[in-house]
Amino acid sequence: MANKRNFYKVLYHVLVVFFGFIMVYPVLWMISGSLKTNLEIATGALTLVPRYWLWENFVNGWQGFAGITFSTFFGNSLYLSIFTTIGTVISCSLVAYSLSRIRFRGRSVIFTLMLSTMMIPAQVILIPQFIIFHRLGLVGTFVPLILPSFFGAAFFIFLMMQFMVSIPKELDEAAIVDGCNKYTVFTRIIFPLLKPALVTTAIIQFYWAWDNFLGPLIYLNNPRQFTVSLALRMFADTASVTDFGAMFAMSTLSLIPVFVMFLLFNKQLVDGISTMGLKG
Amino acid sequence: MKTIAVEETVVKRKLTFGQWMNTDTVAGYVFALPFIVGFLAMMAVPMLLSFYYSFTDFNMLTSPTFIGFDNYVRMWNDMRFRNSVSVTFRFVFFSVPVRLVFGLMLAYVLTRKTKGVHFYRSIYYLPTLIGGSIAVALVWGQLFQNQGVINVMLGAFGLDGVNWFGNPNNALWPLIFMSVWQFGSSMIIFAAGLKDIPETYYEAAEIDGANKWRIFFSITIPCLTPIILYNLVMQTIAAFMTFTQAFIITGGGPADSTNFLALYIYNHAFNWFNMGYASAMSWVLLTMVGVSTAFIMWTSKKWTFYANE
Amino acid sequence: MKKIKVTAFLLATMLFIAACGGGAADTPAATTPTDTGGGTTTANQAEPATGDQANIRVAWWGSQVRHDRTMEVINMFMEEYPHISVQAEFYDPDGYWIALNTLAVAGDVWDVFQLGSNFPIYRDNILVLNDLIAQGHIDLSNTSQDFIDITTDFGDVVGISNGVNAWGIAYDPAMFEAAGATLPNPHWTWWEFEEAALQIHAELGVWGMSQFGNNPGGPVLTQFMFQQGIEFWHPTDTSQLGFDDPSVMVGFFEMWRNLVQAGAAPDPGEAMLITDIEGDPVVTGDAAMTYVASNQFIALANAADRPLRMVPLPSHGPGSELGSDIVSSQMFSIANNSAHPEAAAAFINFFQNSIAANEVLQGERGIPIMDHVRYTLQEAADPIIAETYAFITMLGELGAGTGVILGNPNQGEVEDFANLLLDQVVFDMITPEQAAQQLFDFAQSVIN
Repeated sequence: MANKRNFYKVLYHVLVVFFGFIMVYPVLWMISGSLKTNLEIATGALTLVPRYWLWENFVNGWQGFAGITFSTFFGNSLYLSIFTTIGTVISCSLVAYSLSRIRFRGRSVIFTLMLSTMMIPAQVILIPQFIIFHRLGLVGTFVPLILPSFFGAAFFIFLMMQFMVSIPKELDEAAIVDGCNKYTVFTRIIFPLLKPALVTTAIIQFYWAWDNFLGPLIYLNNPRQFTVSLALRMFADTASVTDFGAMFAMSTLSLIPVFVMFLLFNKQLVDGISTMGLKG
Repeated sequence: MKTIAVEETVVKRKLTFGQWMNTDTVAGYVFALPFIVGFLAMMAVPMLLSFYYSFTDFNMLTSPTFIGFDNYVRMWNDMRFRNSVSVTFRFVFFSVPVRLVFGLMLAYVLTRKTKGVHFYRSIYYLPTLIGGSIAVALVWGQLFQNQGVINVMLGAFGLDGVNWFGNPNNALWPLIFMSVWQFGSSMIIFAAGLKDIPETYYEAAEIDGANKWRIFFSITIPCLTPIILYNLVMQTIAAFMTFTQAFIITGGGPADSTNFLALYIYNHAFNWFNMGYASAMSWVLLTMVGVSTAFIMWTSKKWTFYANE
Repeated sequence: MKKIKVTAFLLATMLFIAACGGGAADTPAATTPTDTGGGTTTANQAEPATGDQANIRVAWWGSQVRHDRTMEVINMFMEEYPHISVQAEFYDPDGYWIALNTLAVAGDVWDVFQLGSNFPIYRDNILVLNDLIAQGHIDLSNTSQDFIDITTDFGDVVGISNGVNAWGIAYDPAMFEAAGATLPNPHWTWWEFEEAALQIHAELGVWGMSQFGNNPGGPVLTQFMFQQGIEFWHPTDTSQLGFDDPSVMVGFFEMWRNLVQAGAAPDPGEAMLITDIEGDPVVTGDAAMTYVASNQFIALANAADRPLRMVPLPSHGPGSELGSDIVSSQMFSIANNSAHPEAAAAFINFFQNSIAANEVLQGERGIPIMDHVRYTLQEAADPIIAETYAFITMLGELGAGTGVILGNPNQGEVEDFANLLLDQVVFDMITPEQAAQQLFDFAQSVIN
């Protein structure tokens, strides 16, 4: 009996690890491809160990295009991601506070509108938004990519509202007795206590912004403003010579910030996603 | 309650600016202001504009000309549009259910209280985490080349390689696989849902002598139905929007076999500057998403089970 | 596609190059401006007029090589003209048009900007250069009227061509011989082309033909028609097509279907992987022929590192036009909203006339239109570059036209549809006849 149980236990782990390996194989293949020759990549070598360890791929890839190195592209991506994250965290916490803590006329209308925006495909507003920014002369700048984050995103507002439910109302009331008003309650009580939700929001938003492709594709044209995503696409573009090794090397680098955040904030990330699903 | 209301109206006249700012209504709107402004400027106005543009011929260089329903008539006769609608539906129809099944299966398997479950879950979540990046899309295209890793693997099992992108009947599959591969977020949501199912349900079932399969289908699944519904709706909406994979990997080809509606709209809008026509198509996309969601919601009444009701 | 026939003059020009190619002895006229190093001759004229500090923006689209070289030239220009500072903006070929449209609406187009055959769309944003040329800000004394005519719109010079090009077929003579196929000649036909490709595939197992670019439904198809004396687009009226009988396109669809279905050309999935000229199967020896522009031939042959030759596109036999034409690749224009048109003109002048600058550019945008520049480059040319000069010269001698390819605002959409139809024909989803008819109907419905 015990043997049988042990056997199943081992089988379980073997199977889970085996399928897990298949799941991450493409990622590992990409990482190993960053050290392979073009030929080795193109002929579909299954092995994850490169025949020659071509560290030059990283050097070549980093050189980028026309004297614009990947430090520019990483800088742009970082700039965009940081600002959209700041915008999102601030705006969403404000709106979440108003919707979950303040009873005012029109609150339920705003709440319903907010939820409904989650259902609207980005494609519908993409075109008129582009035309509006175009009219304002802002196409080709970072503004169209950053500005919307300062208006709050339904997903995160909702996430924070869920979290605020768990902050006892008594804290607010005690603070008001101590002479706080609604604004200082937010800055002194709610915002600090909201930290776990803020961290989750920041992580998810950061990596959405980091991965964003369609937005930069439409709004940024000049290679000097390109994000890492756009720069990677240039590797595969008809206009330049495709160096697969360099492309894989830079692809690997582009995932590092995401990996790092995943390792550091794994728990917050998982909690955030599950909260969304359960309460939504 | 009433007395308080009366008091408030009495006090109202003497409010200082500070007090006025601190009233529920004012403070509420002040805090909600980012969303209200954003909703009007980034949502409502663009949507109205888009609706208007859908009845115009507009190339951005000259001002829009009103052409009535011409764009919608054109869509009706546009073979490429009809094809892209069908491609999009096929993609949604195949990728979403499989994704959910995988997500549910692995969530279930990984709720076992054994060592390493947390680590395993991270591994299975990894593809979802990075799946949206261009890097992965570029790699995916390489995997499915004629001499790519997938065909080499098939060869190792003695199977013929598949001409994935050179045959319109096959080209959609690598994209569907890629979507299925990213079942991580639904897995995590399912896992959280599984944790919330009261132990007592299981205990009761075990006392009744039900086997594991029976318990899974008569306890686990019914308890999870609200979460299945949530995942189904969110994943369906996301699947309708699919753009990047096709844009990077296939460019819509061969013979338009992966020309998703979102990609076709993009080409009309930003390559050919047919803003009017693209707007009209985006409204059709919105309608498709809306109708599909409504349909799922409508059927859900028959299969979702709320423990508290 | 509007062709301005100026063969006689061009022929003379080209023969001049050919004659001079051998020895430098009899070219004093051409070399004079080079002695002082290009820009300096005109710098004296430009400087007093624009003594104040001027900032100009220069924009182009292109590949990495073009970006690199153009940046270098801009730095050289700023060194020579310290009072003019140039802000470079370069784009990928798609992004450029979005950016230009944005600026065109705002009336804020870059001072100097690159335009191709679709310049009529932006005609309102272009400064007519006639006055600047007359005042000597742009020195055209070293080129012939033909090359100016390429970029002239009813008497208005709308830009200065950055180089001429011709599309043709690059082939590997050794592979032809190994397969026992008849070597291409300048007057070969589409039928001979197909035969050769099929035979090479049958004998050697490689592709006979690798690709007609990533847009075969565009320039190749229109060229296929033009060889029969038929324009796809109406020369002057953008709401009309240049033809009314779709059957003239059938042969093109048939030819491509036959090649792909026989395995003598890549299927659409394989073609998708050919993303750049140096990744062309001809480079790796997996194909015997490919479609390139004369300036791309250099990159192709360098990458292949074995002898390749270039011939005109196949044509339709006796009585039809020669397969290829000499075209302007693109031009630099000045925006009419420019605050410093003279500084902008100085830049174009430098770009066109400076030997040093063109030694950096190396004809990447096409064969330069300035005689002295072209001569210097040709003298220093390695055998591969010489092959492209010989190719253009040969076209000139054979009486090829030079022309402006006039497009249509809806061209992109129509070409994309043509490419879809090519796929469908290859997969036997429709017949070549149906494809021709559908393309005709589609093009007509779109431009109305």
